[in-house]
Amino acid sequence: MKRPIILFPFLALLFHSCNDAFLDCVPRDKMTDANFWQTEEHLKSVANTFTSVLQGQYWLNITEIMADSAPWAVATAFRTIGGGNCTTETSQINSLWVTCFTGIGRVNYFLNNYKRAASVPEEIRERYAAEAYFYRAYCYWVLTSYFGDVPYITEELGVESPDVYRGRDPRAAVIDNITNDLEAHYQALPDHVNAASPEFGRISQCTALALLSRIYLFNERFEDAVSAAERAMANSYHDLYSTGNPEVDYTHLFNWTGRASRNADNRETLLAYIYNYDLGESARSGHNLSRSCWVPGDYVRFVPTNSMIEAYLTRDGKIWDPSTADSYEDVFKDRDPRMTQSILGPGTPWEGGKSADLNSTDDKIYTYPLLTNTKVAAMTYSGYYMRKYVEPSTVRYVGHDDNDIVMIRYAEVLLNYAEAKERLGTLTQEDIDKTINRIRDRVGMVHMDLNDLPSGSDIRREIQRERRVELFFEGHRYFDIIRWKQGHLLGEDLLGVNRRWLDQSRLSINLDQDLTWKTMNGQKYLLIETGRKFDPGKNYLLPIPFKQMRLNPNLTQNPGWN
Amino acid sequence: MKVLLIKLAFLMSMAFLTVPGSAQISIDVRNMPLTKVLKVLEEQGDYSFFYSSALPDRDALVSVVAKDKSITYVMDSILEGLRISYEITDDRQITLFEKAGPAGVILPQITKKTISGTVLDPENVPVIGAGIMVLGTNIGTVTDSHGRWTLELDDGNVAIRITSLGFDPKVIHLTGRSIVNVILEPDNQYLEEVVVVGYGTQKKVNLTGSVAMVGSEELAARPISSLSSGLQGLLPGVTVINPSGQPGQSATTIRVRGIGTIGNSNPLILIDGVEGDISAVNPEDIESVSVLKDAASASIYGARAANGVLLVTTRKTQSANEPARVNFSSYFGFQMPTRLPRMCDAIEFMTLDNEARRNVGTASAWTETEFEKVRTGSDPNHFASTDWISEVLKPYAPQQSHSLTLGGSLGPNGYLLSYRYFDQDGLTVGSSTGEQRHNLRFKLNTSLIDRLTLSSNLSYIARKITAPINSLTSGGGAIYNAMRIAPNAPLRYTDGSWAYGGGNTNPVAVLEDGGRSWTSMDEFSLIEVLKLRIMKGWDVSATYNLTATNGFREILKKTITFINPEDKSTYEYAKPNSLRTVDIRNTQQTFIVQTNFDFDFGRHNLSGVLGMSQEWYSGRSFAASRSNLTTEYHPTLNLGDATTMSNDDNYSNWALRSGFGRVSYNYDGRYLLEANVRYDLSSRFHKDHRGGVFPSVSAGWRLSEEKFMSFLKPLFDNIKFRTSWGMLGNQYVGSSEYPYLPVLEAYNSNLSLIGTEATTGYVQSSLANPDLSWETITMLDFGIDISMFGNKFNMSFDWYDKNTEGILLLLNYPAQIGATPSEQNAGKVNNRGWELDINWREQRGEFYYGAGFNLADVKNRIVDLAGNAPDLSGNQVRIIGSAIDSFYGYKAIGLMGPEDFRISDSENHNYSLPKIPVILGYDYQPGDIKYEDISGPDGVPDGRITPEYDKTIIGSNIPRYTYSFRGDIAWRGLDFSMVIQGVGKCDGFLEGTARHALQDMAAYPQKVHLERYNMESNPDPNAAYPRLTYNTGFNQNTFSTFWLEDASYLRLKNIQLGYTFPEKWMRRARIDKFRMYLSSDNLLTFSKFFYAYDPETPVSKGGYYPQVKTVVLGLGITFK
Repeated sequence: MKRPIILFPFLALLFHSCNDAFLDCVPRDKMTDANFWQTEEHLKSVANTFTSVLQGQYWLNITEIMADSAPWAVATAFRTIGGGNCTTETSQINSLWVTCFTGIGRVNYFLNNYKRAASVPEEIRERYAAEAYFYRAYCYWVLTSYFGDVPYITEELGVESPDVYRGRDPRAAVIDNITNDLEAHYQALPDHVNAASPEFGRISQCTALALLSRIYLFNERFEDAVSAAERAMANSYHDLYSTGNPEVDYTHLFNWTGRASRNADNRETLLAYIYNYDLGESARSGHNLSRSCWVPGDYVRFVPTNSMIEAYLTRDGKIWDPSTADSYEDVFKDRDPRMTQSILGPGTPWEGGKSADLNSTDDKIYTYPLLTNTKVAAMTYSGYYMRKYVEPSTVRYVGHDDNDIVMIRYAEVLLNYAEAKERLGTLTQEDIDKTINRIRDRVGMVHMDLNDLPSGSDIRREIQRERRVELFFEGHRYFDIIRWKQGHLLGEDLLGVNRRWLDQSRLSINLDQDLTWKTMNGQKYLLIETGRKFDPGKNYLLPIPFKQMRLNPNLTQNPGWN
Repeated sequence: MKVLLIKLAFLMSMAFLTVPGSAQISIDVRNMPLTKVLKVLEEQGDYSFFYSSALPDRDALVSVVAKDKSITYVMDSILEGLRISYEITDDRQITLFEKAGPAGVILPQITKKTISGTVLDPENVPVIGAGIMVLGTNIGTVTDSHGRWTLELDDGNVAIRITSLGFDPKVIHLTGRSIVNVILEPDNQYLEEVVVVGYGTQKKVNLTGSVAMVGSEELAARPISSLSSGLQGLLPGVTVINPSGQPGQSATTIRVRGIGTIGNSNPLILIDGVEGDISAVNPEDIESVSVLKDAASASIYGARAANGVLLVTTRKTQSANEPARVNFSSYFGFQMPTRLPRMCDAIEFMTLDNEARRNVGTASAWTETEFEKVRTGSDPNHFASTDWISEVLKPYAPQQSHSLTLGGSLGPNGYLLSYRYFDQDGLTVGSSTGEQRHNLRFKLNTSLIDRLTLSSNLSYIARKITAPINSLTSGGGAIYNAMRIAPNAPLRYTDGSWAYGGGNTNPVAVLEDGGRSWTSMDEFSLIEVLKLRIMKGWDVSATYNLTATNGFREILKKTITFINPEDKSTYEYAKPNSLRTVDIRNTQQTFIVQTNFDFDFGRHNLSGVLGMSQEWYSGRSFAASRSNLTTEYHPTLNLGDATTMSNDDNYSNWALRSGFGRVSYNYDGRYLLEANVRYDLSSRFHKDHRGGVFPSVSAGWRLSEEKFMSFLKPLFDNIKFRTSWGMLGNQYVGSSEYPYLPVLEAYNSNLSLIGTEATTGYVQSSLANPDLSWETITMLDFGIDISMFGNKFNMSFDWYDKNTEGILLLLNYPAQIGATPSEQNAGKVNNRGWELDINWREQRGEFYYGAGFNLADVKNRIVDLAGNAPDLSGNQVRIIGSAIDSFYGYKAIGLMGPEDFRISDSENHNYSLPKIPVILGYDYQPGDIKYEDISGPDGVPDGRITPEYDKTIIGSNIPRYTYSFRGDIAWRGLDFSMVIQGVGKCDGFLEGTARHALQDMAAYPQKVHLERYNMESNPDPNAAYPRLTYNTGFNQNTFSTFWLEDASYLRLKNIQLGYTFPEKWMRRARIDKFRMYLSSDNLLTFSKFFYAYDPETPVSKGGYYPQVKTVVLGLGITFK
């Protein structure tokens, strides 16, 4: 009976050695807040996460699909949102809200903690803080543009924080705060970031000023917009991208040739969302934009509309008269050179597959649109194809495109400047020459002349046209329509090619029987979508998502959405 | 008081069973008359021989030489060539009788004799239906309602065997008697039936908690690929759901008494006392499975017992001096899908596609030219008609299992060695799914010194699992993609190469040539139990377990190049090719010290356990990859491009330390009392909130043992009332092992690169909550057990009320909180339910039959959400007063017709301004779904359908009224059994392509969609499907009763027919038992669920590997 006597104290010992190191398990593949916030690398790695709010290629899906220049051919949630067929429960509207507030939460977490990295020199710390202010401003610019008034949150929140249930702050107050932040902090940023450098993708002073000019312009603070744009234009590094080759420079700016992440000559791109498909599998990133514009064997996604086709001026600066064109080729003839650099014109090399043109002999040269899905080439629902942003070499592969997606570029600053000056009534020919005409020079387009505007137009409409043309398919169009109060454009049917420009004898399909046309002013246009609507009392703002309204009773709904 | 004589056996120790000694015989006789030889044997071997004076060959001269041989060996040698058979009974009586003579031989006339008798139990109650069999013949009868029987017998017959279920069988030697009255002694097996409970065992009659147990006979009778699927329908209150039939991916979910919490609802599964994977155990190894359902029985497992505990016990090693026994069992069979979607052919698809596009005002996609191409086959490289579902799945796939178990003793040491090989092919083409498994177990019991025993239990499981590179999930993989590729795309081009289907990749090509994921897992587990017997009824034991899992996974993605033979256009899939390897190393260790005692003091019995345990785990996985492999034939990373290499390394660990104890007291087997307590410390919580105490008490009263109830005795064998109350904990918080710590994780998806190099960001994965602690479950249980008619009838009923408080809940906050909130101890959920289990079993002569029925229901209800507003934006919501994740949506009331529009111009197809309440914002046309206007801002219908006022709880996918029926019949060698299992009430919901057509660009229609609403062909307001709307899903995505499926079902879970060859035939081959059977699982299913998917998965997107039915042919042989 001796053994049990030995065992009992042993048992008792085990019972008592309780809450000790044995139970202190800590993660070793993650950091904890306690051992973070020490080095510059820590600050930088958190700042890196801010870029997710830019959304890269998806940003075009959101913004272009909602608008009237190059929507997706077949309905998607964002097209129904743009076309007024959505409700407070449409989940993509909630996603817009959530994405921005998640970004704001990361910024606030950074701003509440970055000073803990006491050993990091203050100028470095403040540089990353300025990036944080930049991205918070960016998020609120998106939020206010879509939703108007939104809750303004500047602190890291916990579940007990009262701001979790904060109601909406007036848009003007939000804009005041974010612009003040940026004005106060942008000088902590480097003057510029060199293209094709390992730093490219970080925020510079010039990028911050460009965003400021955009935010001021969107909120009709035109003097401030001019000021911010002037300061950005004073930057000695940034300029328009031009290699002196007006035929291709504009196209190259948006494909692999000119992408600023790799091409040091591109001083125009101020901020891009950068991809690299050649990295190792878990770090690799890419998108599918080029393929979705030219997909061989299926219908293409983004398609230029008739309204975009008609928006381009003639090469000599006149408003284009559709009745002057008798063929598909005519449409592209003698137009603003940016047209064929943005929209695929006949005679351009392409990778979209077998031509629909019965006369065509070379499938590597684009001739004529394919209007039904023969599954041997890229079909278009509008009669047109994109060229801007298409990198032909990557069309064959799903998801291999790693084109930079341009978020802010220098040309926009010039356009912001011109537009703000015009709204102030102080626009001069000199202003136009240093902005719009410099942009036109790149492509060899005739200058805009205040004294010789296209007949039947005015300077405001021409500045708006210039913005639509130059910034086509870069995510600006929806916001421009909204702030220019041209919502009716969103309510109109989406139309494609004019029937008159197609030659039945070159096509195997029966144009009249096999396709659906809409007649307008005696002309027949290929119909992309009907049933769109725009209620000016309602649709200038998106609804506050039902989900957020339920979770936060202090949120109020936008007019017309109740 | 036989009850008190029974020894209590402890978990992880061997039971000391008293088995009749099988002494070995040595004999050497030559040419001696048979009767003399028998005399020698009687003297030497303590046997008695009985035979008729008419026995032929009784004086034949026989010879036998044997040394240390069994009696059967000796008898077989002696009787070789004679016309004599024999039978040995347990009490060492050997009866000799005449072998059935060859046909045509006239046997001498034998006089007939009538023998009768009565069979009574010890209380002189007649035993009804007892079987009377004449030994060595097929003659028999059963007793009548007075226990009487009569038989007309040949004079030569010498013995009868009397059997009745619940009694010990008895052999009577007639020796001239004509009236035989017999008293049968009750079979103590029932009373002795021992149930495995936490850290010990308990006699079933003394249980006060709610414990259900299945034994090996119920499991072994059924060929199952894994134990988890075999449990289905066998245990009341336990729901087993198999969402997929994919080999090696058994994602079986087990629920004990419903869903208690919002988080992890998995029960704790202990295999021989240590946590393990139930799907990996060799089913042949299983001795029993106990389910601890109520708090009283489970609370000894404290922090992990909230969702119930399953105790899996593997077979015992044999006790000392037992002859070796060899079991071989084997089956071979086929699996077939239970249900599959039937997709439209190319013409049907193109017709519906054009219609769907017209319906939303866009142009048709297909012209007559394309229809003609399909019809005539003139453009087979672009316009074919392919049934992709039948291209990705084979109609059937084989599976087989072979196992061998050896058991015996080497002196005082018992050993058991088992091995099983299991091979299951998958149904997907290209041999892209499958599993091979080797299970090896070795158990050894050693008496070290007098009172010290060491039990070793070693198990090794090697698995090889083949899977496609894209896993077959609800919403992804080849089966999902087969529903998302155009039916008019060809499978192959005319030159025989893979065809490319346009926007979607050919799923057959990907399965066949797209590469593979191979996983090999080696699990080694060691359990050592050192036990010291201090005195009779008191021992101390220590248990150490190490389970080490090493795995290696290779994911090889091969490039597929599609080349159109006509225009040579190419498209490349998965370019560049790549290889990713993952090395997995997990180690779990358990150390338990415990002491068990069991003492009798007169009529008092006191037993219990006291102990402590600690468990610790660490897991690490290292993954690396490279692209641009120079060969796709089994490459290693070295053959990839070094510039593309990338890697990652994951690590996690946890620890748990606990003390536990139980005291059970019973008085005279009548009054039963038990108390348990557990104290747990978990690494998952902050130091200040680590500890949790979980007590429980329970009591039982065996009414049937009361003197004043003795008048019931003839009818009732047992009546027991039970009640229990206790607390349990749940430590499983989300997916993290460190939920209380503010953690920053490296993250690189959805981030822009900085420069063009890999860019890492650190984000806070969720807000930390240092106050986090246990969920606490309080459960009250009332139960009654009744046994009647000599234990032929058994019934058990339980009612319980289970409250989960401080649920670790991810509360909903507005997105402006800017981060993912952590879980909090908030919220209460109530589960109230009952379970009924009824069994009947009876042996009538050679006819045995049994039937069992169980029915259980649990009602789940959220009681409190800590004041947090429910998120009502999804299809499944958490609202106070409703079940967890109840379906929430509109009530559909048919489809709109032209009459529902103010502007209804049928000539121009112009319908607008609906007269009926609608959700504002959509472009309605006849054929869209109508919803009920339930209420409005003023509490009355407001003429609009709004999410605020018109959505309501419309169902729940928590199964209600789960039931099963088991029946088995055996007659002579034949046996037949079946298990019917089902769910009485359950709602389901199928999302996306699983259910819908054309609401997105790659949702291809199924045959059922031909029944859609159509203004011309089917203007039926009750059509099965609304009008088709191309790439527009407001009808489909607006969740309503229209899309709710009835997921109740009744399923023939298993049906089996077996035949056991007569012992007499087998004895020569030293075969103890030889049975063959034909068995089928899931053969028939009756359900109103959507035709294409299995109702066991009520919520899905349809891409799961289908549930399978199996038909197998098997055999089992036992050698002795």
